[in-house]
Amino acid sequence: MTATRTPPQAARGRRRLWVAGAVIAAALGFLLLQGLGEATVYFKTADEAVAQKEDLGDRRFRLEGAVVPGTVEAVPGRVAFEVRGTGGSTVGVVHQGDPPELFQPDIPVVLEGRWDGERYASDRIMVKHTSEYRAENPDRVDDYVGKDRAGGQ
Amino acid sequence: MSYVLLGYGATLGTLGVYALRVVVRGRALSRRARVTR
Amino acid sequence: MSTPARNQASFILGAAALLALASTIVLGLGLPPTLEQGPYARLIAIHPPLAWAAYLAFGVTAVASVLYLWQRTRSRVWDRVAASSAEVGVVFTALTLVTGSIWGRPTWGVWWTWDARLTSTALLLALFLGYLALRGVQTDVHTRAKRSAIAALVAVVDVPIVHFSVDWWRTLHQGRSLAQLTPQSDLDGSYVAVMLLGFVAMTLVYGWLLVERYRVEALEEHFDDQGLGLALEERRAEGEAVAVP
Repeated sequence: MTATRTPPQAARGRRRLWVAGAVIAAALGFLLLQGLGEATVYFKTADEAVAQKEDLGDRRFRLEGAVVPGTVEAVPGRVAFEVRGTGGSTVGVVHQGDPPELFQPDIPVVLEGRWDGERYASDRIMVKHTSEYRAENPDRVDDYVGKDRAGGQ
Repeated sequence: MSYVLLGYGATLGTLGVYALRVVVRGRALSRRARVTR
Repeated sequence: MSTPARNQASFILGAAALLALASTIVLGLGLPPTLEQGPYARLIAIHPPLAWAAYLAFGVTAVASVLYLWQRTRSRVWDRVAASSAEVGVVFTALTLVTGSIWGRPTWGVWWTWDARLTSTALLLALFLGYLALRGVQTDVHTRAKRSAIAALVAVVDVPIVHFSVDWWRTLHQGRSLAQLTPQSDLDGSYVAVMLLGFVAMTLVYGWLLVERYRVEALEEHFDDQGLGLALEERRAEGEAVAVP
């Protein structure tokens, strides 16, 4: 093969390589920044949120805890409840918006929001599930809360 | 329940379309290989 | 290129995959609603098996890449296996994300969240899409094979990160489903059975797709080589006529 034909082809190939490389680098950079940075400490437990209240100020963070039975007060577009951490600390929550379908007392939830005075102002409720698949059975309503909750450290 | 059907449908549909594409391309190429040989 | 014996093997594998997949879907949709997730738990019959098939596909890509890079086992067969398996793996990864998202909407309340499991899985998809893009760059066969093999070995590092992310970091995503397949776990018996069937089904589907995709890859390379040979001949003929220095 003579050299006269290769330069434009090789240049195009190299350009495509650079474009592919740039796209990959951009995707990786975005995902690493967006995701893993905050994902490593995806949420603070209710106990941590109470202990670090000063430091947190009005910064946004995710809060995890189990919904305390008997504290849920819902009106359309707004719901108030308390969440409790495994260490026993409770946090009063005011959520703007309607809770998700599977929201109920005694389940672990992850909330997005910030401290607002003595309460936690939430704008997103996510229901945390375990990898337990027990058939619905009225005779066996065990307490399943507390298992498989905090995940790693 | 509609979410469940959506999930199963997306899985079946995507796998089906992808498999069909691969098989059709394979058929076309092997036909061409037989003709050119 | 496609012998009758191989066609028959592929047909049997395809039929087995279809049968297993159909059974998984019928039995999966017939699972009882669960205490915690209601009817949405039925998606668990396909979501972890899809993720497993993606792991398997990228694992095969990595092994084939090593076999290509190692001088003693170097063969274009391994490059084709790596390429075919990666493409199939991308389909399974995309479906893992899609089914997870569809499950997450009613159960978590969100389509997506940036927790470690979801983020690392999205990264896995991006990495192997990048791998496929890299393969699309025009160059000679050996350079492409070597370059993509190295890229595959970098990308595959994310597979264990995805798998163990739920143990290493706090996530919204639940713990590993496979770790739950023990006798003392709280899985309903029917869920264990259907999930295992799902794993078998997705493994068979993966195997069949790999065989079919490999055939396409081999035929395409065959025509590419032929095309190159033809182009070279044309060049030579032209060269004689025009007499390029």
